[in-house]
Amino acid sequence: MTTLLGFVRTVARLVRADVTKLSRYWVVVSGFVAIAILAVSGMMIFYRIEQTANVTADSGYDFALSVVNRLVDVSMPIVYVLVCILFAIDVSNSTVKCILTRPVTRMELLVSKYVTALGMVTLNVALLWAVALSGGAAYYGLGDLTENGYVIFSGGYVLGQFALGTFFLILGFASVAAMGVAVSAFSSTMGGAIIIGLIFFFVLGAISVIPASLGLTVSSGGESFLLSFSSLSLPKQPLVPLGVLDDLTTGVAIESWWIPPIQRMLVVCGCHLALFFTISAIGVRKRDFTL
Amino acid sequence: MSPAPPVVAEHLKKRFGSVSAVEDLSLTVEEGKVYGFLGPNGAGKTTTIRMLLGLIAPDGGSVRIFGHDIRRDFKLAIRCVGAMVEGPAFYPFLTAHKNLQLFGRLSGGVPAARVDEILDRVGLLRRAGQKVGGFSQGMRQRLGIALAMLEKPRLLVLDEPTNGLDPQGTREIRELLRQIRDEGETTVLVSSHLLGEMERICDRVAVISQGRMLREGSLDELLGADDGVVELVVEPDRTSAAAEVLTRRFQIEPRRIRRGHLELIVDGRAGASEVNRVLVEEGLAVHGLHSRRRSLEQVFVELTGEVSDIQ
Amino acid sequence: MTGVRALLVVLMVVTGAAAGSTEDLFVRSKIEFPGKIEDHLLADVDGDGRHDVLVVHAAPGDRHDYHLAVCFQRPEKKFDGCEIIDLPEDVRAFDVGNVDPAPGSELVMVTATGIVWSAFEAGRLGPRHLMTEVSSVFTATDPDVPRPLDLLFDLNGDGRDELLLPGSDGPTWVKPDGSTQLLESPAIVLYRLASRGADVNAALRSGFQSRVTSEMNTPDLHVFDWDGDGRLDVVTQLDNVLRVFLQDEVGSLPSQPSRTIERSTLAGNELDSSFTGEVTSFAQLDLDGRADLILTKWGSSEERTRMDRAIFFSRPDGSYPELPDQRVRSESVTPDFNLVDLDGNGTRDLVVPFFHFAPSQAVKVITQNALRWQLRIFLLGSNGRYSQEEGKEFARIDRRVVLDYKLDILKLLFGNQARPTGRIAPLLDFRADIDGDGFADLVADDGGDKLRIYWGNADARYSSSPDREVPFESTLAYDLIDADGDGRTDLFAYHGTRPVKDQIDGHGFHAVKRRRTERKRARRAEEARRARTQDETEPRERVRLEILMSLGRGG
Repeated sequence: MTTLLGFVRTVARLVRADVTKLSRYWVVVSGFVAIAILAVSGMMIFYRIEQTANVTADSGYDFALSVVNRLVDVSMPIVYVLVCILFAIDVSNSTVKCILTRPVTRMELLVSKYVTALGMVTLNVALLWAVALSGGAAYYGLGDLTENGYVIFSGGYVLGQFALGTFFLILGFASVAAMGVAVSAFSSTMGGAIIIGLIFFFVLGAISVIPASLGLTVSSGGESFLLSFSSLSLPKQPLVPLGVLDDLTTGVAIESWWIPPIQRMLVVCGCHLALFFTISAIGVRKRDFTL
Repeated sequence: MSPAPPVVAEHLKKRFGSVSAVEDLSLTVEEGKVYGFLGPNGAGKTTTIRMLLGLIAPDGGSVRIFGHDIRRDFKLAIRCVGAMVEGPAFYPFLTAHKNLQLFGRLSGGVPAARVDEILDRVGLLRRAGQKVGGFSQGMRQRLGIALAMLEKPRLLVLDEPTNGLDPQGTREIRELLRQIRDEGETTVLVSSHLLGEMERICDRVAVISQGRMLREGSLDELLGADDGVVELVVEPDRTSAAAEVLTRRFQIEPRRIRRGHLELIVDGRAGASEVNRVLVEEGLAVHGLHSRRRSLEQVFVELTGEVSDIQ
Repeated sequence: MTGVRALLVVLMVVTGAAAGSTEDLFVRSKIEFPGKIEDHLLADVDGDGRHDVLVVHAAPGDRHDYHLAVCFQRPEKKFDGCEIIDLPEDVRAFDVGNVDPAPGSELVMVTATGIVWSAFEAGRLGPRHLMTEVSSVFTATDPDVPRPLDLLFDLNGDGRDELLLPGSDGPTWVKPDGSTQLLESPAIVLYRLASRGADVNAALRSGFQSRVTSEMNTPDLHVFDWDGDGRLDVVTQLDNVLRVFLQDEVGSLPSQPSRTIERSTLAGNELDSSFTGEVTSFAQLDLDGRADLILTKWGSSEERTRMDRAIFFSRPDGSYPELPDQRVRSESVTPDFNLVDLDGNGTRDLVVPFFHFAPSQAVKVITQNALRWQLRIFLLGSNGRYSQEEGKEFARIDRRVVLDYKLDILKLLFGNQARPTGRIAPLLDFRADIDGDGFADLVADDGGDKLRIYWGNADARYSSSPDREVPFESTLAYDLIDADGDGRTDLFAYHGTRPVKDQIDGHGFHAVKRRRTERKRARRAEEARRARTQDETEPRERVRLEILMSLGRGG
């Protein structure tokens, strides 16, 4: 128990230190500023398109969801690149040896990077929702979710479901970030981390365009099902919960979040997380950072 | 029970692939001393220090810091240590003050006043608010030492603290170490290939080469093995006369005779002052008479047969 | 050539296949024969009151040798084979109906010069009879695939079918005695000076005399009781203009339209925007028996397509208001909709399929092979209006049914499935009453070889999971009709060539696995050899029909 408490405390200190330095590092700061600018300008452009085409969302929630839906794809590579430099920032400055000569184990350091990455992801998602919802409120107004003037869901219910969806969205995002940390754990320079990270990102992203009918047929208990390659694609996973939320704005209540697509997403993300954590743990344990 | 010594390393071994970096190295650092760790570049100094600090795992042997095993009780052990390994490392985009604060936070945090105090100590207080990116090598080096000393460690490990510094910077750091030693609260383990520097500040030294410990001991032990050597300077024309007097009156055969210079070993039978008095009696003008201790450099060359890379 | 060839029949029939309790719902027949499917038609050929199925197909290997397979429905809801009849080369279009005084249907064929008919005589066509020589849209055209065409209608209700033949000046009404009458509703002809060839030649710098090419848009033809007097009327539709030829008491039609109706809901910059368009439909929605108008307008952004449907209910004098009585709004990608009486109150409820084209949906299509459809139901109440609250601009969506449709992109792109022309759409249909209880059931193909059935009820509420699920090879061409007059809807599915099993398995995935041992390799070589020889003896192109005749819920 005390060991666990000590672990948590050390990780918290490391995360705090990470936050301190990242919030003063121009690359990270400008990354988030870029996301914010993209979010705001993207939202405004999207609104203009809707107006020009004379088709409006009618509802602030619907608009916000559409905006997030689009911006997630845009912001993900940026956040991912920022995550990729999490280790590299310490390794390239050699500061990792200063950290490791403090009462900090390598495992704590690794876990703290994952926590920081999760924080960055959460910040990104929060930023997107903040921009999208305030845009929705400004353009269409929030309140209850309406369709053609009829209330279909109360605002509280919609926000609750949005929050749940965001939780799953962050989980999906987090496994992408885990890939970034894993790449970072093996990199010595920032540039290397970013380039190798982006290669991984786009290779794993390219898997998603493989048609879903291609895959491995797995038989279990006499019933065979298809494990499609495309469902292993990492960067598209956050869109799964957004797809569920999409039902909401089209008037279908979300009966349950525990549905096969979400379960599949959790399995895929869980496997990725385990894989990347193992890889990065091996890297961090074996690597001689002082070289 | 006497307190455990700051560092006890036993039979350390480390191989990098087929290259053996450290072989069967044991050392003990006593409390309150400045321990010099000497050897040429590539001798295995930094590898040893990395093993001492738990940065790399030894292939064999053990390290105990104040009695705590560095592998098993890493946190307990490392809490007592402040270290600068292989040069200083900081986030260039943060100020000196912020850097120290940030690293201090990792072991629970240090008050801002302590940060200022230590910056003052290394003479960087005026630069505290400046980003480290703009610091000179000497300033970084001093900041690195400040970081190592930040949490008042009982053991200070400095790897090549004077590396890349000009003579002025070297002098400053030497002065700093001397102060620390004089305060007596901190044990210092300092590695260097600058033998001349170590001689002036170390209480004990270990000499390693090619991963092996060649010699370890107090400075007196190391240098004193050749005690009693005296150099005598006389008028050049009277060199042979002086040699004759020494042989006749003290039965001393000068070890080396050069025109105007004689090197001899004095012992109980004849102290240096006695030699001086007799020579003057004999009408020989003594221009100079001083005992000559060996330099570390000399010891090192004798031990390793190496001259290269030694200053 | 009216060559008649002896029949070639029957390759396989499976009746009432075994397996499970679900099979008590249907009597199944499967029919398969060589050829490439082109089109299909349901008609009572032998006059026994039951629908038979006719399939136009090209002979394997010869794409210009067309045949008509006539598959008769036998008693006990069984189909036990087909007679294959040569279609004469000069046939452009055809229909099946009763034109002679004797009961049973004849094949009425449109040629470039006129109308001829032949009786079906045990696997061949009887002698050719000329009905009339008349010019039609097929005059001066080249022969193409002979298509079934809705030509025959019993307008006056005397039991013998008359013919409505599309032409450039309007449809010609041809009575069984050969007399004709033109109903004036001219086609729109688009002229173009110079041919495409002239463009090419001009580009090659050689002077050619300019010629004129033209494109003709003939009106759609509907036979429909427009004014609710119990007599069928003829309605032509061209763009937004409806021309109605009302039948009088003595069974004659006017040559000039009795009424011309034109409505548009496009206004302002919508007229200039390529994003927007509209289409007019009509149907008897409420209980007054008169046709009501539905104008569907669409405009799109990258994400959603807005479909506004303006509804004009007919007034007692047969007129329509200038402004729509009600508006129904839904976003969708297709202007299709269904009008079905779901709740059994006699009025037609509106079913609008909806597909939300959000990026996450696109990902779903790619990563999960699934499209999510939503069927939005607007119920028409006994007050003759769709549910709409006071002060609201649009009607309220009363029910939503959500269906996932598996969509295999690989199969779609590369599958060698030949599909018949005609209505091509996934089977998601409310126009079925499988159990014959008077309420519309939802029949939905899940795209993954399963048929889901949701029972209808007076409340028009459908359960969120299917009430019945039966195996069913997914199709994009189907007919839903009560084919045996028992009040229960039956299902006809048309398939083209089956994918070669050894190449592509059910998922379209190349399933050849690496085998290491010699023995397995030898076995595979043998299998491959067998597959090759099979290919040589059996043509790859096959027409397949699956017929599910409903037995009702009780089985």
